[in-house]
Amino acid sequence: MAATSPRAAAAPRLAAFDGERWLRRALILLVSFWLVCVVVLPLAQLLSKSLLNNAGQYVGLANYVEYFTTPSLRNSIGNSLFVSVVTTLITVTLGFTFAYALTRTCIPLKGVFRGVAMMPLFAPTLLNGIALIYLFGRKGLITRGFFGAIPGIDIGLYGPVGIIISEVIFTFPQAMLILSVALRMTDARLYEASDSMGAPGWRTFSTVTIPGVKYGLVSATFVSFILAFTDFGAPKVVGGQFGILATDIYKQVIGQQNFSMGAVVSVALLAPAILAFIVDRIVQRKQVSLIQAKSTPLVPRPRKWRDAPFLAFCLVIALLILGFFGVAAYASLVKVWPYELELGLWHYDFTGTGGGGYAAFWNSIRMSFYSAVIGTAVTFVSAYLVEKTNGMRALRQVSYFLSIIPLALPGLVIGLAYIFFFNARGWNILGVFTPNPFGWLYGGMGILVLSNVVHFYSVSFLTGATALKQLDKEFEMVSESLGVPFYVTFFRVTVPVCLPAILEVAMYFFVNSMATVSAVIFLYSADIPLASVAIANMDDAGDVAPACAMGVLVILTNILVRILYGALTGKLRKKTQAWTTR
Amino acid sequence: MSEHDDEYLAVCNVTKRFGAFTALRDVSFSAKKGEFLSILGPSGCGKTTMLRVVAGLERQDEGRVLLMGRDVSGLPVSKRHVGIVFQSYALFPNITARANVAYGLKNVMKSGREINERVDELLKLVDLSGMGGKYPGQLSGGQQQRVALARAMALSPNLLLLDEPLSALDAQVRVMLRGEIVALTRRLGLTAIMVTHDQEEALTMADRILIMKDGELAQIGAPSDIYESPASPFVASFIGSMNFLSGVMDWESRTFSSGKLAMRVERDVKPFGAEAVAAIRPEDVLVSANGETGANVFEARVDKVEYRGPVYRLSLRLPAGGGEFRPLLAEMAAEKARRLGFSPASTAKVILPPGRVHLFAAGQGA
Repeated sequence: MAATSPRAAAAPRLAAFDGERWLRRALILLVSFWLVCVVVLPLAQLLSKSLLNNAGQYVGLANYVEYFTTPSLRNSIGNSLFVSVVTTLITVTLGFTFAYALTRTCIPLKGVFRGVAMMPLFAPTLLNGIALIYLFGRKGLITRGFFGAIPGIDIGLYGPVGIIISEVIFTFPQAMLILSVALRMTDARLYEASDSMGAPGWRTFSTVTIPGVKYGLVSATFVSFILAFTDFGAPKVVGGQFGILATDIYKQVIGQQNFSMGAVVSVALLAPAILAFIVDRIVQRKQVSLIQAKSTPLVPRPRKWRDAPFLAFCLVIALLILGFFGVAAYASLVKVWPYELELGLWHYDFTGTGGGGYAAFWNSIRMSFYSAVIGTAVTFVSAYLVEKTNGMRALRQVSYFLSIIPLALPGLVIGLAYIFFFNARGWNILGVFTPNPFGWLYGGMGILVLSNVVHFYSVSFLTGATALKQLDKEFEMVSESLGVPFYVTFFRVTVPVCLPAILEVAMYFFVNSMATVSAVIFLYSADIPLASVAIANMDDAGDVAPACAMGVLVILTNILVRILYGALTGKLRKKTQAWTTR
Repeated sequence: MSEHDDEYLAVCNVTKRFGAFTALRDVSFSAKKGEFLSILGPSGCGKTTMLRVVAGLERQDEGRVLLMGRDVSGLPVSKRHVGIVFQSYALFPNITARANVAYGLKNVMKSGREINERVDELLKLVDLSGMGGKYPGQLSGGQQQRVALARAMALSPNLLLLDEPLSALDAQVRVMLRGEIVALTRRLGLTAIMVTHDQEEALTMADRILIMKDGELAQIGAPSDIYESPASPFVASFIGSMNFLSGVMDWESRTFSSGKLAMRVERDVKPFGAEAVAAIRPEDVLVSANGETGANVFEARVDKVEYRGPVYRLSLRLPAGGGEFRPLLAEMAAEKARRLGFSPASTAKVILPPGRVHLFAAGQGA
């Protein structure tokens, strides 16, 4: 390269227009703008709707007054809180014991146990409810004592019992995963210190183990609570006459077309979720200072008297989960439950049932694929811009905050807010009518994909951000100093190095988009039926067996995608071993 | 270009703030073409910020940076033609050493053959011929460092900037690479600035050292100047070690006294007030067992004898009258120490050569 010729010293400052810096700035602005459009504005529209009557006139808090003076509506708050608190207590206890067994004992088959425990993640929660009907419903396996072989027991499934069992199954893997991470992050030296001082086992447990995982416990508690509090699928199937907030929204909007009251119930659903989210964030922020760089990992030593009960516990849980989904699979194959136990694929035909059959199934796959591709690209690029840009601190913090808000948003709230926002014809802004620029999205595949991208945005964003944080922060500067534009380095270095995390995010998007029903049930249109919605509708129509079959198809698809992901990352790992091993 | 050889790089009155914190305060210095400068200072003194301002990775709030007489203050790093070697090397892990070195070349060279030749040349320069096909993870720390160096020099930069380039390496590799980096910059006539917190690194590699403290330039000069004539107690204690004694200076008789302890000072110092701090390096303190007389000879008690391999360090106490003592460290070659055979609680004769005693105004802080 030729040396730059010397020039007069009076070069003006900021002489060079630094195009790249401006491009980055523009992109970050775009990220914030996008999040405002798909999160903030729809939520604002939802809130404002709760202050209007169904004719669109401002009525102040009248809707809220009506809500709190109607016992059938008001009682749902207590009901929702009750089932979520009980679910949380059970889930965190079971999840902690299971996670403890996986991380702190020497039981065999840990990989198998972990895999089985993750199964509920792949299932629509509607299927949890349906499986329960086949177990504990009026004609259930347990209720009828295995088709009359033994005396049966009726647990009174429909209502809180059914909801709590489904939610425990639904939230168990999430709580277990969070607690496993927390339990694994403990410093072995603390245990050595405690041992060296001759502390008995229970004392070490209460003074070292529990304080060490308290943030994980808090997080698992809040996550279980939010999930159980906002879930719609299982209560829809086994809730019976027991009203909870999530099913109330659906009844108000779909059943009575009372959108204003739907908005009010949404606010009631949103408030505790946001509160739990904020508390969790504050607690998590404190944790950062607790992790030490030089911690020694704890390697459990075998102890028979301890390992045996843990093994028994894990076996019971794993068999329960397998049995649970096994019953669902079996029921979907039985000709007429419980009278003709002949096995076959009758219910997988779907002709003559509502819901859309295989068209719905393929639509779901298409939608999940688009959500995975678009969602992964959007979340990873925004995580990159937020993590790897110098300066613009304020804007980056705003983008970060907006990116984690969706974590607190129940799917039903997103769905309802999107109806209000994207279906609006326009707004009067300062007296000028502005037509809705996003209206074209409504009623098509676009809004379905968008709702999924936003619904599962935060976890994906955080996964990407964590992966990016592990990259050397000087990569960007090196490429800048070599005159290579940042987007070249992004594609040549950042993306390849982060590929495992990117694939994980894509799988997460796909699996969740396949299983979710809450957001899309408000947004799908008759020409684009979806598998999860079909499950709900077939179940409504009394076609429980085909609904179950559809649920089994969804779970199988998701497990297949998970296996594909495993194979792909395995291959990738082999290929990248060249540059990761010394 | 010759007209700018004396001020190839000029940093003029640069100030940089991060919110309320001032990282750099009115720093000025210049470098000649081909000169190797080292910025040295304790952590948080602003040395890395200084390097980043020169690189264009940070923009200063006030002041200017001139390269070859041209104001580059407004130019981003990509337009300043500087090569940077980062502390972590920041080698791209998913591409080979060759591809790392070639990373910036694709923009300026058209043909693949040309790029290949240049990469071969660079790899040879850093003694890594034949290693180009390996990934960074397969190279040793020292080899990674060389790849980073080759990559930084690929575009024939106007200036080579090194941010603690050796701090992540084993002691032996570090010493070897010190010599190689200096030899390389000399051979290519490269002007280089290296940030380090290792004084030995700065003393052995740099033509001139900039000592920084709290965002300000404490002293600039050749290594021997800084060691021999530190401008402040801070510099004196930061580079090497130093004994300090506070007391009063009588400028007429050139006598410094601390309590009853009085000594002559013969160094050429511009007089200031009476309150003063005298300082002497431990290796300048002469210790002997037999009775010597003359200027600045004192009787001292030996408190501790510390073995340090090639040298011994004695902790001594100088009586200052009224039962008071002043601590003093002395260093001597192991051979001499063995011959004299000091032991704790013994006494020794100590000479503080009047020509080796430094003087600072009191209140300058250490």
